[in-house]
Amino acid sequence: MGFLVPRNDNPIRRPYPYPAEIGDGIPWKRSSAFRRLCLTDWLRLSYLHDVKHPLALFVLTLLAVLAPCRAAERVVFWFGASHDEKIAVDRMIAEFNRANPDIRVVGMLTPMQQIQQKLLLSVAGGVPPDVVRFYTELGGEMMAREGLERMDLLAKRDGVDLSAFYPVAITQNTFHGKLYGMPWVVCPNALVYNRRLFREAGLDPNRPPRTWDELKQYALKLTKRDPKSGAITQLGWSDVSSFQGYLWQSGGELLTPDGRHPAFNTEETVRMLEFWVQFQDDEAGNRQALNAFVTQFSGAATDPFGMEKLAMRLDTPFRIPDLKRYFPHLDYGVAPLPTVKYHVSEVVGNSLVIPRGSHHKEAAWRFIRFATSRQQLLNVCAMSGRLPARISAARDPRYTSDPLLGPFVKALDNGRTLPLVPGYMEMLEAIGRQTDLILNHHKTAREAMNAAAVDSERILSRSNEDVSRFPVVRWGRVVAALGAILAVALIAIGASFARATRHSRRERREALEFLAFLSPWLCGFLLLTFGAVAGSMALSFSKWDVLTPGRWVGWRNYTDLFTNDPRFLHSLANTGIFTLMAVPVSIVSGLAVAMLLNLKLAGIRVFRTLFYLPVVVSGVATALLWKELFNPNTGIINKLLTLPVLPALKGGLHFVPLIVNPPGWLADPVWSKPALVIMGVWGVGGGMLIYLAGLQGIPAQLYEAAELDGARGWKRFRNVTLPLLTPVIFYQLVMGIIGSFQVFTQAYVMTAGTGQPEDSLLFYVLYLFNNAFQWLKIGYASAMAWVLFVIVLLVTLINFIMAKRWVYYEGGPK
Amino acid sequence: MTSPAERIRADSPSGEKAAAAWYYALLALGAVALAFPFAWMLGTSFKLPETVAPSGLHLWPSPWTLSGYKAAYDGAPWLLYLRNTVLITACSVVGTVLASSMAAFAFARLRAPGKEPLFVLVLATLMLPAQVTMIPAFIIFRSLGWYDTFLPLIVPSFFGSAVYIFLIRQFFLTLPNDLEDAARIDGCSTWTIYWRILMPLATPALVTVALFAFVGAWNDFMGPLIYLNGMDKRTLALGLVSFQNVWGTDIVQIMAASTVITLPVLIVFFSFQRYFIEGVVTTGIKG
Repeated sequence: MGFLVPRNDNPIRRPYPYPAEIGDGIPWKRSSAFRRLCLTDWLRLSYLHDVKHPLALFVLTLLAVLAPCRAAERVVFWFGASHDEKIAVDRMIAEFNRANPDIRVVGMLTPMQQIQQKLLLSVAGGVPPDVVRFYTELGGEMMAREGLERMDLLAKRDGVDLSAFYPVAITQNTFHGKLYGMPWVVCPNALVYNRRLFREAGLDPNRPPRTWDELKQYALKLTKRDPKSGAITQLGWSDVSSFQGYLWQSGGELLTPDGRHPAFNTEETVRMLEFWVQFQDDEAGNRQALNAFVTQFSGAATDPFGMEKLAMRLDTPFRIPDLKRYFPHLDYGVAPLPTVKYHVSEVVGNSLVIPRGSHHKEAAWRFIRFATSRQQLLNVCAMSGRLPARISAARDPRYTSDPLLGPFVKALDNGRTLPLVPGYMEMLEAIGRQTDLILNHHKTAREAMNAAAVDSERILSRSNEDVSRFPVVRWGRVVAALGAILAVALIAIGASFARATRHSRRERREALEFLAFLSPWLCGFLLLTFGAVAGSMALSFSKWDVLTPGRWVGWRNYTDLFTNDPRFLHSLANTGIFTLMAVPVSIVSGLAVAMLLNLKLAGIRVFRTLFYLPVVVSGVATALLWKELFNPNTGIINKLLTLPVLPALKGGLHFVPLIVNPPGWLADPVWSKPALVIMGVWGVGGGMLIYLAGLQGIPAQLYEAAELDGARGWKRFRNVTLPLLTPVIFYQLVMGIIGSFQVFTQAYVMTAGTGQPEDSLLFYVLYLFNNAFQWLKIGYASAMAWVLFVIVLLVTLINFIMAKRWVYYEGGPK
Repeated sequence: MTSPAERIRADSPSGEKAAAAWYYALLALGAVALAFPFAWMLGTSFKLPETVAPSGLHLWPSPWTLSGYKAAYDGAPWLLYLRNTVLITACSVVGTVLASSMAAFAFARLRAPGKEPLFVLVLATLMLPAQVTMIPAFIIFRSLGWYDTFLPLIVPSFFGSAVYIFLIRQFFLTLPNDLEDAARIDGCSTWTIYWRILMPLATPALVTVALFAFVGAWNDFMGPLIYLNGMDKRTLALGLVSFQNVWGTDIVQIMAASTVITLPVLIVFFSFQRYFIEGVVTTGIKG
C-alpha cells in the first residue's frame, strides 16, 4: 500500500496525514454494518489519499458493502505524539489492522497534558480505552495504584521475554514486583556540546568534559558577556537544577529502600546542591541572569543550542531531529554526562498500558505485542527521535553507528528512573520548589533540604498509609441515601409550598406559574446538579483515587486542610489577593470603556468590535499569547516599556527608556499576579458588553429630566447613569468575585499547572485540580471544593445584604 | 431616540469638536492596546518559525509564509470539526437564552414562597468549582448513556445557566412595572407578558447572553475533551488543543490554527453586531 507512505519527501515539513483518526469522520461510515467491515481501513485511506473521483468512491463503497463481513473487535488507543511521531504511529496502526483483520485499532490523538484527567474520568465512568500511551513521569501514580492490567502475567502466559527490554524500562513500570505497562520507548540523558564553540574557546572538541569540575571549567570558558551591558551573550551550561540526576550521580538516593521515607536529606546532597548553586553564580552571576538568558528562546526553531548561544546542555535524543531539521549545519557532539561519582543517566520512558476495565483486553495485548516488536519500534523511533525500549532494537546499527545517537544508547546501560511509589509526583514537586529557593538564594541548601524532607515525609506517609482501618465506600448505598434525602426534601418543600399558598387561589396560581417558568432549571438541578453536588459532598468525606475502592475517612480531609497542609492556606491567600486586585480593576475598566463606547460617534461600531475582539479568542490561545507577550526579554510588553522615549541631555540630546529594569512578570513572584490582572483587562470587552446593554436600557426621558434640572457631565453620570446601572454593577461584582475565586485556566496554561514561580500563581482551584487529577486525591480535592463553597457563599450573601443599601431597581424586586 | 452624546452635540456645538477629538484619541489608544495582541497573533501566524523571536516588535511578517497555515490545514479535519462545533454551539445558544430567560423572569417578576432561598440555591450552584463536580457529573451522563455523544454538551444548556439567569434577572429588574401592569389589566397571560413584553424589552441583555453562550460553547474544550471519544466528534477548540500538543512549542503553527478557529467568531460578531448592539436603539426602550 504505497499510499501509506507520505510521498512528499521535503525534509522540512512533511505532509500530515491522519489516516487512523479521520476514519470515524466520514459520515457514510456511520452505519454499524459498515463499521464491521474488514475492508474499512483500506477504504478509508483510499478515500483520503487516492480516490478523488466520486464514481470511483461509489464503486469502492459498493464493493465494500458486498464483501464478506467479519466482526472486528474495536480497540481504542489513546496516545499523545509530536507531529512526526504521529505519522509513524498512524502507520503502525494501519499495518497492525491489515495484519489482523479481526481487530480494528482506532488511534485517538489525545492532548498529553489532559490524558490523565480524561483517563481517570473514563475509568470512573466505566468506559476506559483499551490501550493508552503512558508517560512514566505522568502515569506512575496510576501504576502505583494498581489500576491497570498486569503485563507480567500476560507476558508469562504467552512466553514474552521481558529480559529483552532494558531493565530501567522494566523498573519504570513495576510496582511491588508487578509489571503494569509494556516498555515502549525511552529517553536517556547525555551531554550535547557544540564542537565549533569548543574550538573557538580553545577546547578540544574531541574531549568533552567528564567530571563536574571539568564541566564547570569548560562552562566558564564558554560563557561570554556583552562588554557594555554585561548581559550574557553565550552560555556554557544551563542545566543546574536537575535534582534526581545529580543526586544519583553523587551517590544519593531519593527514598529509603522500602519506598516509604525520603532518603535524600544528607550532607552529601547539601554539598551537591551547594556545588550547583556556586556553578550557577560563577557562570551567570545569579538565577535572574541565567533565567533572563534562557527565556529569550522558545520553540524548536530558536533553540539556543541550535543558534550557538548555548554551548553544552543535558539533553535527550528526541531533540536531535529538530536540531537536524532547523540547524542542518550545526557541528555538535554527544557524550556521556559528566559526573562526580557514578555514571548515571536519568531515563524517562513511555509505555503501553491496558486500563483495568477494558473490554478488549486480549486484542489490546496483541496490539501491544505488535507495537513493542523490534521492527515496529525501529519504525516509530525513526520518526520520533526516542529510543526503543527493546535492547535488540536499540542496539541496531542505525543507532550504535550514529555518532549522535550512539552515546544515548550507551547511556541506557547506566539508566536510572524515578521510584514508583504513591505520592512520588507530589514529592518531586515539593523538592523542585525547594531547589528553586536554593538557586534563588532564598534558602540555604541545608534549610531547603530539611524543608523538602519534612514535606516528603508528610506526603509519603499519607499516600502509603494502611487504609484497611477505614470502611469501604459502597456507592450503591450512597446513591440510595442521596435519593432518599432528595425525595424527603421534595415532599417537605412541596407540602410547605402548598401550605404557604393555601389561602389564596391567585397566590397558588402565581406560585405554580413560578414553578413552571423555573421548570427547565429545576429539571436540570434534579437530574444533574444535585447528583453532582451531593456526590462531591460524599466524596469529601472519603479517600478515593478512582482506581481502588474509596474509604470513609470522616472529617479527616477537612482537618488535614487546616492543620497539615501549608500550601492550602497559601493557595487560599493567593486567591484572595488576586480577587482583591482583579475584581475592582475589571469593574472600573469595563464601565469606563462602556461609557466611552456608548457615545454616538462616527465609526463607534468599529471600535466596539475592536474592543470585543479579545473576548472571542479562546482562553487557551489567550494564555499562550500572553505568555509570549510577557516574556521578560523578548516579550513586546517589556520592549515597549524600555523604548527610549524620555529625552535626556547627558552628552548631547538622546533618549532614554522610561523604565530601565522592567518587571519579570510571570517569572517574578511579585509581578506574576499583576500580570494576570493585566491579562484580564485585555478581556474587558465581556464586561463592556454587559454595561453597554445596561446603558442602552436607561430610558432617554430620565436624561431629559436630568437635563432640565441642569445636570450635566459628571453630575449626570453620578445621579442618573450610575444609580440606574447599579443592578448591572452588582451583577458584575458578584460574578466577578465568584469567578476570580475560581481562577484556573490562565494559571494552569501559563505555568503548566505548577503555579510557579514560588507558588505565587498557585490558586485555589489549581491546587484543587492538582490534588484531584495529578495526585489522585479526589476526596481531598472535594473537601477543598466545599471549603471554597462556604467562603464564596458567605461573601456572596454579604454582597446581597449590602446590595440593599446601594442597588437601585427601577421595577423593584417584588 | 437620541443618545446623551447627541444631546451634548446639540447643546454645545463649540465644545463638541474638542470633546469628540479627545474621545477618539482615547478610543484609538484603547483599540490599539486591545487589538495589539490579536494583531500579533495574526502577524505571527504568517511568519517563519525562525523569525518570530528575533523580530520582536515587528508585527509585519518578513518574509510572508503560509507554512503555518499549511501545517494547520493538514493537521486536522477542520471542516468536520467546524460542523460539530456549529451544531453544538447553535443548540447551546438557543437553549441557554430560552431556559435562562424563563427562570430569570420567574425570579424577577413572579411571586412564590421560598423564592429568595431558591435564588440563592441557583447562585450557589456556581460556587462549587466544576473541577470537582466533574467526576459525579461524568458518571451521571455515562449512566444516562450519553457518553461519546453531543448530549452532555447540549442538554445542560436547556436547563439554563445560573450566570445568565442572574444576568437577565438583573435586567428584568431594571424594567419598570407599568407596561406589565397595563398588560395584566388587558387580560394578558403570564406567558404573553414574558414573551411579548419583557423579552423584547430585554433584547440588549438577551443578545449579550447569546453572544457569551456562543463564545463559551465555541471555545469550550474541557467538555468535548472528556465527553467525546471519537475523532469524528471533536470540536474546533479540542482540535486546537490537540494540535498544540502535536506541534509543541512551534508558535507559528499554533497561532495559525488559533487564527483560523477564531475567524468564524469574528465573522459572526461583525455581521451581527448591528443586531447585537445597535438593534436596541430601534427597538426603543422608552420605559
